[in-house]
Amino acid sequence: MASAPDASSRSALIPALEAVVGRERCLSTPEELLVYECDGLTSHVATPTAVVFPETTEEVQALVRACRTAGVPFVPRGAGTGLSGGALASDDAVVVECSRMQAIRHIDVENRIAVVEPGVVNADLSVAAKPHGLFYAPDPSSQLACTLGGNVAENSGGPHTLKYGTTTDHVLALELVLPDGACITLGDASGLAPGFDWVGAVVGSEGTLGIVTAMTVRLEPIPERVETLLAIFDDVVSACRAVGRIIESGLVPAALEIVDQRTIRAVEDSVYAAGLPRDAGAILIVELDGPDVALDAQIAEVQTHCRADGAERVEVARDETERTQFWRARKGAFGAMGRLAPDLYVHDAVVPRTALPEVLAKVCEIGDRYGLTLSNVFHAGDGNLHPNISFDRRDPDEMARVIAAGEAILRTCVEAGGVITGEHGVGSEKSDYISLVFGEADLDAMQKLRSVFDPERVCNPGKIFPTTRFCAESNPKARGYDRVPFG
Amino acid sequence: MSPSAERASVSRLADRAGARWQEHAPVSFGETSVAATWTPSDADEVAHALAASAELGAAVLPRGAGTQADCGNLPERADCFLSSAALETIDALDASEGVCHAGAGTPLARLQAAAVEAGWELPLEDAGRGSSLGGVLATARLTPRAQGFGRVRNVVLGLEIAHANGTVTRCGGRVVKNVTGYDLAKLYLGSLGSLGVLCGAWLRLRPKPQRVVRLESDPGTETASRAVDWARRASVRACAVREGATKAGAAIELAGDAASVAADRDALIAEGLQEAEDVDLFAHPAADGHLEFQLSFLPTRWPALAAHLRDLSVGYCAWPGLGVLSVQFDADAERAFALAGEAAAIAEGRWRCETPSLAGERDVFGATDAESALGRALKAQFDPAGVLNPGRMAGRL
Ligand SMILES: Cc1cc2nc3c(=O)[nH]c(=O)nc-3n(C[C@H](O)[C@H](O)[C@H](O)COP(=O)(O)OP(=O)(O)OC[C@H]3O[C@@H](n4cnc5c(N)ncnc54)[C@H](O)[C@@H]3O)c2cc1C
Ligand SMILES: Cc1cc2nc3c(=O)[nH]c(=O)nc-3n(C[C@H](O)[C@H](O)[C@H](O)COP(=O)(O)OP(=O)(O)OC[C@H]3O[C@@H](n4cnc5c(N)ncnc54)[C@H](O)[C@@H]3O)c2cc1C
Repeated sequence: MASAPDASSRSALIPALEAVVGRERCLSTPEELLVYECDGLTSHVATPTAVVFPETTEEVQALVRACRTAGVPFVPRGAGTGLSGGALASDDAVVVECSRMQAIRHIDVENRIAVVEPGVVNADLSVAAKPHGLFYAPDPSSQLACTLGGNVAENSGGPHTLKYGTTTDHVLALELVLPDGACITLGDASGLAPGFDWVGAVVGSEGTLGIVTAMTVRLEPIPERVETLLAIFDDVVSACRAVGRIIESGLVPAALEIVDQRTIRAVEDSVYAAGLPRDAGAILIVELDGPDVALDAQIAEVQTHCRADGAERVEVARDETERTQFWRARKGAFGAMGRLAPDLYVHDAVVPRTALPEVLAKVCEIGDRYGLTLSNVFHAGDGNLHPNISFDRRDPDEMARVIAAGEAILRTCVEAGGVITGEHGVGSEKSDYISLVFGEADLDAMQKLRSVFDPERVCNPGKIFPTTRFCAESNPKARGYDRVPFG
Repeated sequence: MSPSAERASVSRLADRAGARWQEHAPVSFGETSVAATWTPSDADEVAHALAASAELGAAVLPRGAGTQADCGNLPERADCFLSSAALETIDALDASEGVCHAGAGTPLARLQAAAVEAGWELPLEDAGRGSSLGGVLATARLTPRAQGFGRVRNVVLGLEIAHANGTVTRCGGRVVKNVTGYDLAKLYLGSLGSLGVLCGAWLRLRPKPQRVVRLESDPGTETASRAVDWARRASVRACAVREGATKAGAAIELAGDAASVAADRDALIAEGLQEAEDVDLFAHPAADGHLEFQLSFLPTRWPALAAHLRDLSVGYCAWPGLGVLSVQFDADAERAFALAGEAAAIAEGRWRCETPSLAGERDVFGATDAESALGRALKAQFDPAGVLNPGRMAGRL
């Protein structure tokens, strides 16, 4: 941590920030700050010292320098849709919100690249690229709101990660304002930049290495044809088996998503209703895309695999309207949960895909054991689970059970060979659980990278790394390391 | 360090290594040479070897099969090789999951064969060189099938690394989607063994293609410009185009589902290509004494770049789907580096010299910008005593 600021340098901070962005782009009254005391993870709150809205790289640099002078840390923020408390203003930090840096500077159609600012909303880039027959592949379910800067920080994935990969596979270069206020460019469009793969290291670093102020990303040609299938199963285990069968057959669908029974019912009771059978045990959405000639055979193959695992119905969307309807069941799921309880805890953990049936059974058992309403919507092809717990934050006992069940779920996933987050990040939510996956030496190696960029730990403090470390005794994975490589 | 101090440290290393130390005929790297190899038998022993070297200030060159032993800049100092030969294991190959774990010393060909036997394909290639897994990951070289396979960075899920401070760490994991902590694997890949020694890796396999078809074109300069469009067809896994004194033309490999491959095959045959048993996707080996460079280019700069190289009458092998080519200049080092710089400027790309022993004092990566300041800081964190491949990385780190 930076040395504790004295009161006078701190009181000089707000005027210094205002000198950079003007009064109207600097919030500092308690009422104004209220909105920024948490991100999508509402259980973790902290009031920032101020929230500033830069519009240029130079302004970001000047803001960072002002924070340094005052000895106050700072936190980059995009749209605040993060679900792991990554944009939480720990240590009275100043929030540097990049949502006004919204220019798509350049779309190079021939070379299939775009240069964009961090505040560009994910879906807007694909909208801009569409007339050129191109799109930006990483598509988090929050893509209508979240920003590309937030995506880079979280290495965001989405339903189409199975085929297209996560954000790191699509970012070629970054402009980064370092915690000392300097601005550097990492990587380049050529992919042959000399030296270490810095872009790879910064993507997914959760805003702890600097503030991204511009990026060069790869665009993909829009596939010739897209087909979406919906298979209806008696239970979630059969749906998981069908996923295994599809992948083992050598098919690479664009998406393989499972929605369980409780979620189906919540969706059907809500405005997102998609006409799903309320008594179905689970639905599997399969999306196939590629050259026109390839898809007929693939559709037939997927249908065969699903039926082999007992799917009663396997429907192919007849048109765009029906396709949208299938996806609405998946994408509307989080919204629909809002009907079940005031709060929703969206977990995010990964297991080897083949362990899905066994882990899901354990996850449901954990929900029952803690007397909680738990439902599952997940990226089955990647083994990326989202067990969602509906609860009421005002009930302290229930809140405690939610936390305890969450920890039990993470332990179960790690024991099955998995990790504690597949796309939402460690943030402040899971910083104490990262020791379930990594030992002291592993975390020390990560700290070495941190030290290269942010030796004083002023950039987004309190994230990723444990504040209280688990002891090795209570950490079954750490003990197993020397025998089996990563379990 | 003075030569006598160096000898002293080497003999003390030999004491520490015991039976795992072997002296042999010297292998030279520019001014320095190495005459002993330390072959630890597991990751902990690798870490101990590195810690001992750091303590004695001895410079260690990690080594796999040695097929690219002098890649990167020539090392500034060298006391011994640290061989991964004893880290040859295939610990896990999960046929239903499509992932595997292997030790760094495992020959890539052996791992590839095991993957195929399990019904999958390992998306890394060594073109019959006998490379080790660790060497392929440490160099993270672009090879022609990267167009279909993805780059080395897309294939690696997790790594175990031995460090100069005597620890062994892991990063990443065995699952395909993972944002738990920093993605340190990206830094180790392509780091030429300058941050630590790779001991093992979890890799992602890919489905075996239903059909593979290889095609080649007749020699002709027109080929070069058309190949850029050919390379963008959906099922193209690799595309190489060559122009030069002895050979010219394009070589293409299609792979994937049967229907897409058949469609692309027919389309390319209609453009005048022929099916071929075998095609050569790799550049010709560098002629002795010629400086070889790898150049990157933006697709739109291709016509200008190809015309420029034709004017210079130099041969090249390009992979237009990846935007990279390799070219040899028959000129003294100063002129060759200048020519590479000119070509890269036309290409709006980068250059890298692939023949370090001919490069003299020059940094083969042509690097010294803001990134090497970061690189120095990173090297200082992971290898403060400067014992791992000193001087080899870009910026002579
Ligand atoms: C309904 C819903 C569905 C979701 N679905 C998915 C999904 O499918 N896949 C997925 O991956 N995520 C998903 N998310 C999580 C979230 O939307 C993503 O993590 C997203 O990338 C966050 O972007 P943001 O702009 O909202 O970032 P914020 O929440 O504002 O910030 C997230 C992190 O990024 C950092 N950051 C933001 N901007 C910058 C910058 N310019 N430079 C450096 N660091 C920066 C912050 O410090 C913070 O650590 C979902 C969230 C919701 C609410
Ligand atoms: C200039 C160049 C040209 C290439 N051309 C081709 C080609 O035409 N076709 C093709 O298929 N491939 C090519 N490659 C890739 C090449 O096959 C592999 O990079 C190489 O053979 C590595 O295997 P090796 O075991 O022989 O490594 P080595 O030659 O032993 O080592 C190569 C480098 O990796 C480091 N290293 C080796 N093992 C480890 C380890 N365990 N941990 C850390 N560092 C380690 C060494 O210190 C050295 O810097 C090329 C690579 C380079 C650099």
